[in-house]
Amino acid sequence: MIECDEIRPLLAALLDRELTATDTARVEAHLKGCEHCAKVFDEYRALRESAVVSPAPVPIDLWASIGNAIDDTPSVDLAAEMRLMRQEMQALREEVAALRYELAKRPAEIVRRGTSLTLSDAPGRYSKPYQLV
Amino acid sequence: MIRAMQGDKNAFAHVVKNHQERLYRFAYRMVGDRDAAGDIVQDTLIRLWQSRDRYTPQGAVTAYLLRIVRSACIDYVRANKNWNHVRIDDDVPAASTCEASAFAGALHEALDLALLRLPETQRVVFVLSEFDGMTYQEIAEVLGCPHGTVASRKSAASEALRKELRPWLEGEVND
Repeated sequence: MIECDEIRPLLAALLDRELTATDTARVEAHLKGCEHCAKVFDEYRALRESAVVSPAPVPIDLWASIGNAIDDTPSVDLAAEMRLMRQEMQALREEVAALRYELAKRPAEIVRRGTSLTLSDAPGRYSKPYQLV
Repeated sequence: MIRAMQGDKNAFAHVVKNHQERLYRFAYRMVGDRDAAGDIVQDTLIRLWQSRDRYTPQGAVTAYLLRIVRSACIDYVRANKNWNHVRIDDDVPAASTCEASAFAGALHEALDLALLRLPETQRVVFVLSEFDGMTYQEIAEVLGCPHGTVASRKSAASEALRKELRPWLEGEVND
């Protein structure tokens, strides 16, 4: 009986051909001499046969619905990219607004700086910058 | 799979079409409901596409897909408190004119119901082993557990089902 207790947990693995050669030989030898364990093993085999022929439902084509769903839904990385772009656009808007403010505050200075030309090597009366506008 | 996870929709379609039947049958055996199985697989694959930027290649694609569908099945069962009252809706006709066919139908129905009564950890091993024909090593990869754990769960599941289905199995053995 002690041997039966050791053998029984191995019967499923024997049926699945998952035992080592040594264990397979040991379990098979036991089954030849133990009617009760042999009967249990036969029932495991019958269980397998009924599982093998057990019908499963015919699956539907899932791709049709999955394909449609993923067309409509932005992916996570695309959504993240869009969020990042929105943040960048906001930062750019703020930068442009700051530049406009600066421009409005100091128009004359900017015009002068941007449109004058200094001829530093010109002698005499040409030492002052030429105003181009 | 890598191309699919880089955003190639055609590659993703290929992955889905190659695996949908297996995943659907697996989910069906795990939850015992045809519509729920379809929804579970569909939602899981849509979520996989949506979060593809987080995908990191890890082992066989089939094992990965079975793993995420299994998680979704567990979530489904948790969310549906009356889940174990759901009746398996199989293709076997309830009343058959042939006695042998009626017996087979009753046995399959009893097997499906007994399967749903198993603890989830045993059921998943039995389903992948018997219905999917996976080796213990392949199952261990799906479940992320040692080979020995798979062997002991398979043994426990087989023994529980044998005891529950003994009236049918004795008939099969005697035939």
